[in-house]
Amino acid sequence: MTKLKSFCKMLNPRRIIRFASIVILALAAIAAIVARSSPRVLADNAPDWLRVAAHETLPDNPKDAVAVILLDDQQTTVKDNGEIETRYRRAYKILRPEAREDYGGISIEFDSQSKITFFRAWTITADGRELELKDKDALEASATSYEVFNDIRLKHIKFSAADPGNVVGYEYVQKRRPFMFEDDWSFQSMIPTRRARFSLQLPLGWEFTNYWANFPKKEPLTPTNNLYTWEIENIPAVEVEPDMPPYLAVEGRMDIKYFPRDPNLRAKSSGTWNDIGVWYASLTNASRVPSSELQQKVTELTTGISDPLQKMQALATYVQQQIRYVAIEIGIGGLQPHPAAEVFKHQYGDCKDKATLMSTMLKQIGIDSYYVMIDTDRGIVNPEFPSLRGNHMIMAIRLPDGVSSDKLYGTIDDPKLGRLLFFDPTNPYVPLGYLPSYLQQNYGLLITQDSGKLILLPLLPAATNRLLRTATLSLSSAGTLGGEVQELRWGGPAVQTREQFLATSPAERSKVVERFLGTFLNNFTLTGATVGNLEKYSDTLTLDYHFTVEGYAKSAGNLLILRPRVVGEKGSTILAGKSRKYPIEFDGTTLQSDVFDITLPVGYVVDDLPQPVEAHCDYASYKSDVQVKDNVLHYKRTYEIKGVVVPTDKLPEVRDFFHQVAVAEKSSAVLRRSNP
Amino acid sequence: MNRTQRFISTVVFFFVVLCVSHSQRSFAGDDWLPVPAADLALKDNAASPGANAMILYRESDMDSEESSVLEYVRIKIFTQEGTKQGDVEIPFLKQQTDIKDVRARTIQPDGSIVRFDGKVFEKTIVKGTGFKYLAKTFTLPDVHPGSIIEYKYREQSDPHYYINESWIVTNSLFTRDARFSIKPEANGNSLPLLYRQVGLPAGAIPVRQGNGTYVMDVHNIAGLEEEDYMPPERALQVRVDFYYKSLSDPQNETQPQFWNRKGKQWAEELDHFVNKKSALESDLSRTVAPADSPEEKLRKIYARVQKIRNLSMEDSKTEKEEKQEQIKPNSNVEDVFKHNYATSRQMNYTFVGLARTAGFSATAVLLAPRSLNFFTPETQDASQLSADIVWVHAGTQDYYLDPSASTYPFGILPWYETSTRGIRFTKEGGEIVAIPAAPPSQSTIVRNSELVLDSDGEATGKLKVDFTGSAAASRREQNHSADAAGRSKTLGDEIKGWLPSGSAVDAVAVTNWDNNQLPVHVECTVKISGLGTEAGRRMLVPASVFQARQPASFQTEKRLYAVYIRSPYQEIDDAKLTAPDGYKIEAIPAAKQLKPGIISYEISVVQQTNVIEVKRLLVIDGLMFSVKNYPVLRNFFNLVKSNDETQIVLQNAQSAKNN
Repeated sequence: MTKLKSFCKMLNPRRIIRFASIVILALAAIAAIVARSSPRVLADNAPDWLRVAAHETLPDNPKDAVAVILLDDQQTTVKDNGEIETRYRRAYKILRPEAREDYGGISIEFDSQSKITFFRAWTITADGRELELKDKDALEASATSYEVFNDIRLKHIKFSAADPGNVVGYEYVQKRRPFMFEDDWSFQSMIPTRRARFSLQLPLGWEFTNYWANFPKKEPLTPTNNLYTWEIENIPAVEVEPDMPPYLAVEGRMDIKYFPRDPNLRAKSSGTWNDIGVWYASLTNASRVPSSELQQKVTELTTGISDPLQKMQALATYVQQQIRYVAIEIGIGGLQPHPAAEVFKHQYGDCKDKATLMSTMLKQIGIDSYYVMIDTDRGIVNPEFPSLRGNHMIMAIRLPDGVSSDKLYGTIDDPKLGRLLFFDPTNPYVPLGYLPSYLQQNYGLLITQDSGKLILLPLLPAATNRLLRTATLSLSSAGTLGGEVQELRWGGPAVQTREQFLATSPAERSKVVERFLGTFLNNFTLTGATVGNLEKYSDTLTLDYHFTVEGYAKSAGNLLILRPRVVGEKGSTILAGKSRKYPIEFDGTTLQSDVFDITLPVGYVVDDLPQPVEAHCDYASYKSDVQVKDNVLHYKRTYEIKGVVVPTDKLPEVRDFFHQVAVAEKSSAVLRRSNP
Repeated sequence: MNRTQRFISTVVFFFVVLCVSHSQRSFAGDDWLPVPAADLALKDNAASPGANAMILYRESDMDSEESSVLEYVRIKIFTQEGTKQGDVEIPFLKQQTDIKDVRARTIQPDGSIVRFDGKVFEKTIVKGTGFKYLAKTFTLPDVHPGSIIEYKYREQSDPHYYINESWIVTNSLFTRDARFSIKPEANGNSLPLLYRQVGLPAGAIPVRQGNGTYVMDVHNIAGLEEEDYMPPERALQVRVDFYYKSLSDPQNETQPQFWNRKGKQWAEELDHFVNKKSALESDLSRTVAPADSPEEKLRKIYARVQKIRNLSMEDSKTEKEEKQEQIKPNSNVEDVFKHNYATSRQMNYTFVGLARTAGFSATAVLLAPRSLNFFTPETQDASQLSADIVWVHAGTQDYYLDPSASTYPFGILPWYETSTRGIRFTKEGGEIVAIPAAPPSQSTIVRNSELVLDSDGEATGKLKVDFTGSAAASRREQNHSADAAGRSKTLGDEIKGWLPSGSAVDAVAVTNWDNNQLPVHVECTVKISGLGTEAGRRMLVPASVFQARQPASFQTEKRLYAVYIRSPYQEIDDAKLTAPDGYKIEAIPAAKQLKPGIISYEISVVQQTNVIEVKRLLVIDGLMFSVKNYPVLRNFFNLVKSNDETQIVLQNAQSAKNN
């Protein structure tokens, strides 16, 4: 079913609420009470379509499937006035008790623009009994929790007797008046599907285009009177794999658009990215009007600064740091930003609000900027099929002549607009010039005043996401290791660490370091830690920590054994085990170096050292080396990730790479007592 | 086991909190308290430095006559993270309560004020037929580090609903100053308002005023935070519960008198339920033999009761499902025998009836399950006792049993019903009894492995695991609705979690699942990549292939709350590892023992030609470790991990020869 539209980066504000500790318990309790007080239905009759589906043979399913979909039927009727009515029918066969968790009920999203006019659910038990639940038996809840308010809600029905051997099913009708004539048929699920069917009834004179995502194209059965029907059988399940692309980027789906006969409704049809851009521009053209207070603020922030880049940085820092992320979305408010003056006055807003304010402020210093509609997951925005898919709004800033883009890594050259710097005013940890990793190599729709154009955002070079870790340590003959580690972080590694520290109260920040060390060390004592430039987001983040680790080197007879790679782990086992179906995605490119010097205890000599390691693949490289000179063990290594999406045919080489890294990381040096 | 009662207590707790009564009074538009300059300039909380935000002042005025509560909260924001306090959500049950007169404002460090003039939204948390659980949500403007935010509202309830007034003093934030008041109903028929408190700091006490109103000022109440292995939240919460004493109840009862009286009432209910002599005798005659020893009889009765379908253990059902299944209520043991289903409490009462019929002294015990709270009999609050077990005396022995806990064998109670106190009740009344602790031997994991290491450091072989006592019962309980494949997966995943990252666990076979008298036995094959690691010409292998679970929770030096381990337990390992061809065993770690008090650990490694055998024993014989003892516990688990990781040194035979 179509997800309701909203641009809001998923943030999760904590709230002070009087009864916060009991809300979760309360929901469960109320749900149970309601389940017990469901009204009695005297005669329960399952519909014929469900009875027929219940007799379907099972799809070719893996043996561990908890349930299968016997029928997934979507009947869409588009009316000439632009209203879309869809009847959804779905029948499951419950195979295992574990199915109750994910398939024991059905939740449907709706809002004021997409009302549910009919909703029923049934169970046909293995012994032939039929149970029915109606709309009034449903629970209703907010669909999301991170916004202060969002009018999207859920209706939920818990099936009766969702037990192995039984067939459960539901039917609902939803009437929509979409902002754009976009629709989809998601026929693939997390469990196998026996039969999926989509029927589309268009008014005479209407047309459609469609796109098959992640599935071979199918032609409709012979259309009659503008009624089109597609049917697919035996659809395998989407299997969840670690670090796979987002579900929407891998599921089998048919995206579809409708083109009306009535010219007045044509504005709701988006044949091209340009159409969407023009439509969104019209939706936002009144948003970027400054108030006098806003203008005054821009003056205040930029007075005394002559360099345009520094002015931009001042405004960017202001919007990122001073404007609180708050989402309030009602109806078109999921797409349309609040006016800049209002955002400024309240000092809060969501992603599109922040982009609007930033754009308005930039305009005051003579710099043009544009909305960029994007998704926080790579692969959701599909260049092959122009659509409103996406959950986030950032911006592209047109760099003025004379501004060097040397350190503005998120810049591209546009043939028409010149140098465009992409910037996310919502992410407070990523300064102007950088791009959050999830936006890199991701498609975004650049929206100008009169056009829209899909652009691939740049993938930042590994060297812009740096971690340099140096350690000066000494080992005692008892095996205790102690000393200091210094880290310099910028780009991605700085963003991650800042986020961790700043989401933690100052009183608890030492625990962040302790938990990090605890990943690699045991029996350690953190004797000091300082973080530098924590809230200077444009500067290099520094992290110094001191610790001692008792028993770091293990003794065995007259040997003392230690792992030269004291902290930091690059190896991964995500590709171990059975072969994968989907690509993997890395967080981002990065270049990381470790240089550790460990002074060895007097009275010991080196008996064995790990071999140097060099491992390479198309997407990454690793090099480590251990040497001893003047009783100091020198360990150094570099690790680089060069690409972010690894296709399935390249996974074996990446798996071998990580295996080599994991082996190298665990290797140890052996010291021997010189006078046993 | 008493899931239903726990569930009901949760529901009651929720309604009790939400149904607090409220009044028609409202805040005047501008009756904000003055803001001291020192608070404007405040940079941190001196009493608890380094917080994101703190409550400077909170006032909660409850008026039972008007069924309303006026809430006033003033919060100082210290960090950017703390600005999230500017998003406010106030949940309420719509059919009983409404949130009115919401006012809010933001005060900047320079004293300037930004009034909240935005919209207060009504968000659906969940609603269904006959109820609406909603929340008023709003967000304050211009909130930055250094700002003070304050808001107030009136929670107005329908006066017809039963109310149970409480002051929940503890918040998620530190509270510097707070003032609570409650004005009782004033009509002539009203009952005396009394209170019980938990955790109030010294000097804080509800003070009764001349008009019957109670007022209390408290200061410096720590915020409630989350920690691994912390005691139940309710046990850490500072609260005052008010109640009306019935005029028919004795006044000024002592604690023993109160529980004695309650016990008599409960005993009457029990006696009424089991007052079906012929039904009990008939069932008993089919259950035990006259020649059975007393304990044999009890075991058979226990097994008999466990065969009854336990409705409390099943997923909640709609009325329609119940009707379809023709589930009717049980009024007494005869109904239980006839229907062969019962709630947990009815099952335990049935056991009591059968045991008495067999000639034993037996009754039920109501107790406070440790998963929710610790029993405080001095508060004279019967709602704490949300679980029940049975007591039976045979020979010279007292047995505490819970036949309704269908996955637990005779003699073993669920962890939350051990080491607690409750009220044992008879016709003579109720008395406080202590339910004994479970020894570690009642919750044991025994692991036996036989692995072969290859020259790449990969170990493969078989692993056998026995979960005994409550270790088995709790797993049976958690997976009670799973099928064989589901339990194999869950247990396989658990075993995988004990092994180094990247290990594979296959062919998981689970036996004895349906016989709770036997350990849950699991056999599987394992493959551990990189168990042996490279050290030049040597290979190193950790002494234990199993990773200790606890140290990760005790990495941090600072500890806020006592460490609360649910139940004593032990791990017994016997792991055999065959060295790869071409390698000789160069060094093995020395045996090690640790025993700082009630926790102990020992590990020993022996070598037989090219096979290494590691024996390991970990015993945790305690539940609660105070903050003062945390360093000892932390050090213990660190040493456990350290010794588990001590390395066995293998040397390539060829290179050894060349040495």
